[in-house]
Amino acid sequence: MPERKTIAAYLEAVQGQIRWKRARPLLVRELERHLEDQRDDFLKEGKAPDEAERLAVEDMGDPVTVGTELDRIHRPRPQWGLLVLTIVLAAVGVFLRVLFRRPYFRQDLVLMRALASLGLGTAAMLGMYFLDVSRLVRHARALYIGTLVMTVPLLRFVYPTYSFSLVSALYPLAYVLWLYSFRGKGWKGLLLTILGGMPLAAVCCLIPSASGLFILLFSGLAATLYAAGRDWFGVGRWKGVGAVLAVAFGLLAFLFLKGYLNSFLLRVMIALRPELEKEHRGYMGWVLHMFWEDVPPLRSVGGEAAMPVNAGARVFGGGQEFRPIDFSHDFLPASMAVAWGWIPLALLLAALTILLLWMLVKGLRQSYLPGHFVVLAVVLTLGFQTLFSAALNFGFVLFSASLPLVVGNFQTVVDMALIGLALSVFRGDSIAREEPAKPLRPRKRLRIKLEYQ
Amino acid sequence: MELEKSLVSGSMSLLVLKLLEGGDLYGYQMIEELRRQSGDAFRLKAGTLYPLLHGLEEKGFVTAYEQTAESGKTRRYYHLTKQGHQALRDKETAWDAYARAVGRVLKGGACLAGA
Repeated sequence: MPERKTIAAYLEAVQGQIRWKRARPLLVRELERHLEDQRDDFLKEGKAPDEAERLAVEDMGDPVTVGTELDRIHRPRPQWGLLVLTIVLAAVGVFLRVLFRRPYFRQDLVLMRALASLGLGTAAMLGMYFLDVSRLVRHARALYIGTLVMTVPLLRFVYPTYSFSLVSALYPLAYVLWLYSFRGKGWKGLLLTILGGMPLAAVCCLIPSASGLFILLFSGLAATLYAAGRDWFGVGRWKGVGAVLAVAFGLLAFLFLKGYLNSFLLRVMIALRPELEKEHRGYMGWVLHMFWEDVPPLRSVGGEAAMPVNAGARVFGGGQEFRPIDFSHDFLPASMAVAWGWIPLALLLAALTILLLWMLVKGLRQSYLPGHFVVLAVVLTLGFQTLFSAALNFGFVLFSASLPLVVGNFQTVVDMALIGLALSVFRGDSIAREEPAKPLRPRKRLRIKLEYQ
Repeated sequence: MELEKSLVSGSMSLLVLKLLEGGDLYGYQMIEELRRQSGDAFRLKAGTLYPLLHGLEEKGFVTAYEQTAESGKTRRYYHLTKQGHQALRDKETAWDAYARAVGRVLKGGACLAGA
């Protein structure tokens, strides 16, 4: 064995055996502290500095053996299964977007854009997959503020479809990162966490994006309850949960008193029974209900001709000429069911649900808490998108929602990036560590001005 | 008395889990504590301890967290999980059965006495 008797040389030899570069600093830091402790104890016993360091190094054992053992344990955990499943689902989305495009759209252009979204989405997913999530968490508040500042221009300058996709996909994550940064900060932390959700909600209202707002509210509530249930803020588990529920019900009461809740409940009623306002606000839901009456489990080839005519007759009256209905974009899943029967749509929804549940189960098994929260944000966001889209396509028309990985080119890219982020948590699980607890430092006051109309 | 290496290595994870049952410890503390509690019989090398700890963490028996001490040094503490407690119980039971069996054989064999 070569003469390697200093701590630095020893650590260099150890890390030479560890193939995963990202794991090296973490593993070496622990050994370094141990060697320093051991050296200091030898110094206290009266050994000379050189001898103390040599003895400490010898005491630890052969660096190659130690490094090899650590290398065996700490390997990246590839997530090929989930990556492939995501790409397959996104490819199915490309196929469906091309097949069920608006009749007046050119097929070659639609195909090119859909393929480009798959390519960009895959690149974004892999980019996030290789990202170190601990870096993201380290700058949690900066990312929250950055997301908010960057998305405000959406209100004026960006095409609405892009704003909806970005806001509904990124805001729950930004909120969860904000929440994460208030660990152990007591009641003040809990209050600031909840206040942090308000500017995001305000942007959703101003866009206006109802789906973005509801995905943010539901995901935010679920994540805050989850955090409070783990006593994230250090105020006591049940006190925290109680406080979050009190704020949620308080907000509901406030909206009720302001009269917003009444109009919302009216919308829910019309979504449930669209026939009550079939020529006005219930129109789309009514049309969908008519179409669903004729959707069989599986449609045989060539059997589709009569169906839209029958549905059209029920919608517009038997004597009237059938008018084609635009079932593209958010209604693409319904178009698919109309053309092929409900079983293919059920299979697609089941595949998405399996992907999300698989991610959720893996995410909640993580020992790395920031990973928990990142995965939770991603799964809640995509889960609510799926749920809302399914509701919309089955005729419960409350607000627009795009089926993840299937509807919308830009949406697909954003969804794939989010999934890549969740998978990066699983990939780096074996070295994922929390930041050391630091003593509290005085912080500058952050003023948030809220305006209600 | 210096113990034979193979005797110690097989039971090391049991001993480490047992140490952590008493509270969260960092690696250096564990080695010192093991040496003290065993009356200097177990002189575990750090190079053996850390891969062992990381392996236990991988299995979910322990979790690790970093904390900065007053001296300013950041230590990585290990904490026994619920799963780790169960593993400790199982290993203790297995060890008791093994020790009793070895003891019986060393004392001349219970089965022969009864035959």
